[in-house]
Amino acid sequence: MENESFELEFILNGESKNIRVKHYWTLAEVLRSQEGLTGTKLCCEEGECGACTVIVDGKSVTSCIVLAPEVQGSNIVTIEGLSQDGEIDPVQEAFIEEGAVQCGYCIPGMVMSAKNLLDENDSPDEEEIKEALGGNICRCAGYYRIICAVQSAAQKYKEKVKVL
Amino acid sequence: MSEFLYHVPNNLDDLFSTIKKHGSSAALLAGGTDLLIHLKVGKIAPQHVIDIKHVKELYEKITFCSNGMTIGALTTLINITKHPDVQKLYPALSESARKVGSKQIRNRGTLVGNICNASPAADTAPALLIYNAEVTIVGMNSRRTIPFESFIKGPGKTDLKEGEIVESLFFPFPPANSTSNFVKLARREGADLTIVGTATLAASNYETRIALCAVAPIPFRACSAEYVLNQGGYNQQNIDKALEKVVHNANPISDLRATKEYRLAMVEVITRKSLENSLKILTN
Ligand SMILES: Cc1cc2nc3c(=O)[nH]c(=O)nc-3n(C[C@H](O)[C@H](O)[C@H](O)COP(=O)(O)OP(=O)(O)OC[C@H]3O[C@@H](n4cnc5c(N)ncnc54)[C@H](O)[C@@H]3O)c2cc1C
Ligand code: FES
Ligand code: FES
Repeated sequence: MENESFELEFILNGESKNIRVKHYWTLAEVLRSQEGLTGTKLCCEEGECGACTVIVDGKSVTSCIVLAPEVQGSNIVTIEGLSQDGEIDPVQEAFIEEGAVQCGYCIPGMVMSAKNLLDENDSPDEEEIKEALGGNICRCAGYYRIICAVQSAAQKYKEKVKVL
Repeated sequence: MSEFLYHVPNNLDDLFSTIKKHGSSAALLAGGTDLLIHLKVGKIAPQHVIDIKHVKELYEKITFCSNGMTIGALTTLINITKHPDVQKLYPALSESARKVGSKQIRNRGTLVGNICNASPAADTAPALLIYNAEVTIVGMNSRRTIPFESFIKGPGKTDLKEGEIVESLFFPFPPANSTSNFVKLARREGADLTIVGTATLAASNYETRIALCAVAPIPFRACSAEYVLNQGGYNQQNIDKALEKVVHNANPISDLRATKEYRLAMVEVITRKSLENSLKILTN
């Protein structure tokens, strides 16, 4: 079984990939070890903390409990895929401006959950933000500022749409 | 995680022959939010993992017919929470699905996976019990439908025989002039297992259904309490009497989330809350 590998084709941050993975690897392991995208963090590795959150086909998932072969043919966005033309995403901008980052370990997951929420709902209220980010734990306990950052990011998205 | 081979059959024939070939050394994978944990902690170590998400006969959609609703093996919890008719007709199901884990978990986890895992704390189980849900089970040459009430046999144990899978769940429409809801007590809102979970249904003719999870080896209907209310109606004295019976039916354990004593005390509080929520809506 050791030599068996699985041919995995998927889109990662807009780029087509065709790689070989072990059947029993998780998506998080592939992203970090094989693709070198270490922005996706690992912490609990049991779906509890949200540090490993990425977006698969438009849905936020904890990549530590998704098997790599399960994402065959999928479109995956990680924290590294948010910036466009060298500019960071409004969600990232808002997190910086609101001082929502302390040690930073939970932040990539928080940002991906926030991004996923704002893609689905452009004006979330506080309860909706809490529901969408409820699976992301911050041990520096900066929740208040994180919620402010998501509210501010929603505003930024709207302004961006107005300009376009 | 131990090593295994991943299989992805795309029709039922393929699925059943893959299951047959590998027998007890195989595990089925739907959303994986339970299975991956079991694999990671070494609770199980199958040599084959069979992903059912691409089996074309299994479905994700929620459908309605003249006597009820069908939910497929691949219907995710998030799709249940987002469906306006589920919210309207089966509020306890909608609310309990919303209480499972976090958004990331609900985005992948299925309702059928929640019940096949057969955890005593499965949040959606009380809702399935009060709506008298039925489970359709298929095998290579078999097909049968059983009440959900006889599907869960013990912690982690279901009525599924080797080679069988759950195809869908059927929910008859609830009684006329009735209302229902689910109340969950846990330490934390996002991603925490239940300490006490109660679903109740109340109707203007006093037909009452009460079901609980996380306070006995399996989720259960509190039939003797239901009887008290069915017969005597919704006055305070009767409600108190019914709640006593619910507490009597519960048989919780102590674990890292709560002691047995705390659970028993909360059975009364949470069941009362759920009943009162139902009655408030009913009287309006
Ligand atoms: C962080 C976290 C938090 C959680 N919180 C909660 C919670 O609050 N409440 C709660 O109730 N649960 C919770 N869970 C458990 C889990 O998310 C749910 O039970 C979920 O609904 C399982 O669905 P799934 O599709 O992911 O199942 P899977 O993991 O794919 O499967 C679960 C089991 O069912 C079997 N199975 C799946 N589909 C079928 C089928 N069609 N036929 C036969 N067997 C099948 C599998 O072989 C496996 O044994 C949590 C899990 C995590 C990781
Ligand atoms: S590392 Fe995946 S949820 Fe914690
Ligand atoms: S900023 Fe440190 S864990 Fe969130």
